[in-house]
Amino acid sequence: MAEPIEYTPGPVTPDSARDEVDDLVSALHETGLLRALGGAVQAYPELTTALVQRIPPDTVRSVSRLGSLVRLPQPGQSDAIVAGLRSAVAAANEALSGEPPSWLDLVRTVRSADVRRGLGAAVAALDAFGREVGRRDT
Amino acid sequence: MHDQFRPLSQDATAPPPTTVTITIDGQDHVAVEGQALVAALGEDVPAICHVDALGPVQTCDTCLVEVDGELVRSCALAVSDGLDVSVATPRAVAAREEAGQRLLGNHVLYCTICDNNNGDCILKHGVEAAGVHAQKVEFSPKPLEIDDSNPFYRYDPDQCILCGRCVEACQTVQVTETLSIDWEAEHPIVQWDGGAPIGESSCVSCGHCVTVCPCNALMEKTMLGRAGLFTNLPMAFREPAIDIVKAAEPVTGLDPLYDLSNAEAVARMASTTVTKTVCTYCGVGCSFDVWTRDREILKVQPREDGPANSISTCVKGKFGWDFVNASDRLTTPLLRDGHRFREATWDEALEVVATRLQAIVDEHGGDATAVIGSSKASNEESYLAQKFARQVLGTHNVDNCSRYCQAPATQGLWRTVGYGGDSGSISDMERASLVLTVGTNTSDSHPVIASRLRRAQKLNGQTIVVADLRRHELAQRADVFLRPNPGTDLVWLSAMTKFILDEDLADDDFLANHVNGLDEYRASLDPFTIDHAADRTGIDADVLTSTARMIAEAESVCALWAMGVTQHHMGSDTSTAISNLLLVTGNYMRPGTGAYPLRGHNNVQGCSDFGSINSFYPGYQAVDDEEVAQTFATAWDRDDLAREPGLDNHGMIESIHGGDLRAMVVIGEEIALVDANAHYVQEALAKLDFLVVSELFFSSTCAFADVVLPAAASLEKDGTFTSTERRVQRLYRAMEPIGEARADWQILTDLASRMGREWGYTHPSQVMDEVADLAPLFAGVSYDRLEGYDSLQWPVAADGSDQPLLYVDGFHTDDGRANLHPLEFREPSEVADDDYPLHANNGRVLEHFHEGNMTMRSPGLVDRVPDTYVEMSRRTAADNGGLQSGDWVVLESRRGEITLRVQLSDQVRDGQVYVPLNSNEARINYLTSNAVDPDSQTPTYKELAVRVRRADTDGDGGHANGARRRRRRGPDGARLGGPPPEPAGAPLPAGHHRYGSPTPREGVEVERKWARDDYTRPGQGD
Repeated sequence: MAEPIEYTPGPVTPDSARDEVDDLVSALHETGLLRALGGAVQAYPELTTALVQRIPPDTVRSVSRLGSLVRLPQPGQSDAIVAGLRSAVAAANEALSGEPPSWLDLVRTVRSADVRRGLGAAVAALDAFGREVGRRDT
Repeated sequence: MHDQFRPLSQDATAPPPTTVTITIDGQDHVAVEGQALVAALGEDVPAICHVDALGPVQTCDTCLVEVDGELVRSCALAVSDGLDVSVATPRAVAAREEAGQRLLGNHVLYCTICDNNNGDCILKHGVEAAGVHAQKVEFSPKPLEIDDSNPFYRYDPDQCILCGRCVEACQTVQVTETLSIDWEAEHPIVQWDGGAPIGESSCVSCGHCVTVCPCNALMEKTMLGRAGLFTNLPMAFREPAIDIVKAAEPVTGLDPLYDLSNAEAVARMASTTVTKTVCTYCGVGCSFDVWTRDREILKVQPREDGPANSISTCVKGKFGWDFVNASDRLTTPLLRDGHRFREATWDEALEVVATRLQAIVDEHGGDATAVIGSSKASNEESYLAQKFARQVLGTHNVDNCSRYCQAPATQGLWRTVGYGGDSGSISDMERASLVLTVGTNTSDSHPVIASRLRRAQKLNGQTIVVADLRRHELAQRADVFLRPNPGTDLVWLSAMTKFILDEDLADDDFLANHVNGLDEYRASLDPFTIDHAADRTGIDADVLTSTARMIAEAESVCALWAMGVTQHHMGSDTSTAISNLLLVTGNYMRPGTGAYPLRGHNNVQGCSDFGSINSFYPGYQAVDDEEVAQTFATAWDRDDLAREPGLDNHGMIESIHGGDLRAMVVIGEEIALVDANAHYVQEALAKLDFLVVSELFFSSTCAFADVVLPAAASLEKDGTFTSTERRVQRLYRAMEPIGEARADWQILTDLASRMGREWGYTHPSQVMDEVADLAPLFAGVSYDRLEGYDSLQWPVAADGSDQPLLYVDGFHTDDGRANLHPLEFREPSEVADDDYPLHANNGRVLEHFHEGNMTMRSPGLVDRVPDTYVEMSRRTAADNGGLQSGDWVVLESRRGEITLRVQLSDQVRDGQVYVPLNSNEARINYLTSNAVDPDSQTPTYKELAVRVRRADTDGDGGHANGARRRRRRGPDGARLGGPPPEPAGAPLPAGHHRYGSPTPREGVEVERKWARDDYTRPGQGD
């Protein structure tokens, strides 16, 4: 005689370390960052092709002019930035195609004036961007 | 048939396409005669408003080309031999660009952060192809807010290009006739019921409009903020970003945006999986792509090459997939351990099952065990379920839920025409000049077939005759609505047939050439005079004779029926009467004719076809056929199987009570609630020595089990289903099984191995290959022939040829002739009387499937219909204490009682009530009886007398006899659907579609757009 027994599927067994990782992954997922990174990595060949090879010079010039509309100091400077971006993508491509650099090599690279200039520009851009978004948010 | 009308479902009767030569810009091209010219022009000519299934809509003007010096819309011009088309002339190019520019006046291109930028955006590709490189027509926002009132989709007027695809689909494919465009307004928009919020309109959420929308104006809510890499950006970023890009656009043009969004589309699709599957709800056999990201279901997208459904879906198929990821899915095996269940490993669980089953077989013989296959599982799993019963356990005690529904229809067809399956295809139903439906609430239970009938009626003048107790949706649209007294269908069917014979309206040639037994059958009709029928059925005699004439004189007739016929004491005989009527009127063996028992589950046809039935080996090879038995004895290395049928579902329950049946394997079947007289069934389950249940959720049946095995859902496995039109289709695995769940074919293979039979299957295709070798009905079926959206309708010959029209040269009988089957009428097993004065009908509603195991886990579906109810007329309510909608009542039969709320309605006749099957607690089968149709053993669910009383708020919660109250709750105790704890008010929300006010139109009615003062055809000024 089998009396009916109720059963409710139980929750996952607590595991604090794993929970924290899960929380991190969940946050990355909810913000879309995980998907963006995953998609970018999986579509890396297509993305680089589109960015480096498929965009015609006219388009690059258009993006450059787009840069002028978001009030970069000088049109000439925005052209330089676009040229710099293309060089950066090409350099990234080259770097990714070879053996990974050692940590020592990386430290040496960071000491390069060009790298510091690029990092400075990126940080400044992020700072300005964040300030603008924050202003609109409030 | 009207010249322009063609079936939407795959149409094997359509003449093969013929090719002709046309000239495009001076070059000869081969094209299909009669097809829309735009389809022959390639991607250079956009067709943003054109969908082949909809026909020419002609709203967008982006397909303009020159023919004979005139600009014409190539979507509206049919290909003919010698047609000379100019595409690349400056005038045509300019006209197409102008048309594209106008569209952007109604739509903001922010593709990279748009959820529709998935590489298949019709609008984006269209405006690109139209040569729009910079926007010239300024975007003009519409003074309306986004309509977010439907639980499944939303409408953004500002993104709507007014192409009218959605309207055309609603008005001429789905034919709910909810959507229209107010072309005469200052700012025309798509309207629901002429201006109601979507969630309060007649919209049935079928999803046609969303499926055909060429942009992001209509979007599935499951896609919003999830489809793209950047589409869930916060508004604080999103709007400024759009503003910046829009500010730059006049300078940069659109090309950089196209490039950027194309790259983003590639990136987002890299992490999105698109998988073809087949719907797991009713038996129509809808197939579609399901878009997933890991376990997340983004959307369901039907395609025009879906053989059964093309672009069509119902609300469940399009939006009702939440159950796959419900938090209470079973994820690990469970073992009964004293008075609780505990989790176990697969190894431990399977060892327990194998050991216990083997011990019972050794001690009591194989016939002390039984297997119930699942009509939700695949064909391959049905084959393995019966193979497990026969080869491993050594018994023919194997059956499936067709015993509860369509076994009587199968019996009726076996008697008369030979095969227990639909005698044609859905396209035949569309093609028929008259469709007779008996006891089928097609609009709710087989929604896509109902849409095909409404379309055929609207576009092709099809006559629809509905016979039913309830004035349901299709009855409201019928040309003739017959409303017989309960249980009397056989009487009026036989009386009409007698009238047709007596009035010399029968198809004498057909009877002479193809049918046996006319004289004996005709003699059996003597009692069925029109006067007797009118008296017994309550149908007016003149209506009976006029309808009989209508059927006899119709060029082609299809008869559709379902549970309203079969779940009766005379279910098999009434099914036979329908087939008899078709034979007498010559309505077999031709396109647009035939008998169509509408199968209720996605694979209830296939479950029997592939052998989970007590009397047949796979492919309906009788167990008492010595040659067949020898074939299987050799193939399975087991020569001691009986030559008599085993127990069916009904017999199994009786055998448990009798002490002979001791163990059962139940695969995905909620037998504790769906078999009639649930108390009696549950008492039987409690008596079993051993019960193993394979399930998605912890069902009521699981509560009686010794071992519960977590099964994979249809999206988590490969396999095939067979739909109502005998169509075998593949489903592909879209995601990994949840937790430790496994596909039933794997579970059965492992079990067989532990019990000494090494099957060795590693993929379901190997199972299908074995079936093809053993069952002539499926000789030519293989996974290769079922690749993608390809399908086969059995019987399938070894060369792969199938039979969409089942009877072409003759019937499936010894002499190839059909047999008229004499019939007598018997009274129903239970009728309303003084003690139980109300007839209780029961069945489905559109939003829920059966008892609700899957659909009650969908918040959107529960929002539309939260729970079951008892539907009654105002007079019945008044006669029972002045009841009102929302009042709690107890519904009581001779077997038990349930407590539920009242829903007043004019769909139910006085003295009758209707109870939907879906429920959290109030299960109709606590009321139904043990009586069965003696020819099929199908319970008489529809022969039920009840009484009603107002519930006491303190004492009448739940059903009687101490039965358990089951609530659906997740691991955290959160409710998983269903009504609030103490619901009040009417059971159906005020916004339910039945209270809407449809706005029938011919279609999008583009002529009204062309008549506007501000409209000129692009290129007209040149």
